[in-house]
Amino acid sequence: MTDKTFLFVDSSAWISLVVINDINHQKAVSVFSSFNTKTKLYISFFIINETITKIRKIFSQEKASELFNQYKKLEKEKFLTILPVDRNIIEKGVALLSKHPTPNTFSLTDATNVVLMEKYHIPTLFSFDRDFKKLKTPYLSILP
Amino acid sequence: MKRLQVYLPESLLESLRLYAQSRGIPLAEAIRQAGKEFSSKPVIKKQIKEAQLRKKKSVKNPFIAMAGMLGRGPTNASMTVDDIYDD
Repeated sequence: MTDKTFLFVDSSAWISLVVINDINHQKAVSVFSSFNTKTKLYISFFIINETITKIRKIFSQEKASELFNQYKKLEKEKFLTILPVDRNIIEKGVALLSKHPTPNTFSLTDATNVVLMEKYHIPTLFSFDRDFKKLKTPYLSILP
Repeated sequence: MKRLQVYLPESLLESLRLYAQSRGIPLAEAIRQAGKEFSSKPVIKKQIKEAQLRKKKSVKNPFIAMAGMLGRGPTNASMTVDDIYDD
């Protein structure tokens, strides 16, 4: 059974939540709706980078700032923990990428997600990125 | 009623002032009428209703308030996050 108490939320999940006509929007809403006060969500500096850059690209800086402010609000209200990505995490992320040359669309951000989840004992990843499934990491369960 | 202090562009303020004068009403009343008329527009009403609903739901689950908060965009946005590395 997938642990829904501690989850790392990937960029694709955030994007599908905030874009109302995204192909995965309904699924994202359904998963986010299932969270309760015990649920602890995690993201990283890299996830903020990816989502803010993506929103800026497809919408505008104004909307990117809106999302950024929402992250800060969630963090302030203790619904979200923003994990730092330091040199050590990046080193481990690059090492993970080296172990998995395919798929080549698997990014350093994706790799750092896995490294951070291992470091902070976060068992579940919420993502619509199919690359994670190809990774076949034993300690990682993926939502949805 | 609640007191609110706002900055208005001079031209807008002048228009509202002229309107108030022509109707023989206080400037504050002209601003209230403008606000009422704006918020009764169907598009704005819809936005307000959605925001009210999000606010209500977000008390229990703050993530629900984020659902669709940025509006309509590319339907494949969540599947093409890595596009940010292109160009």
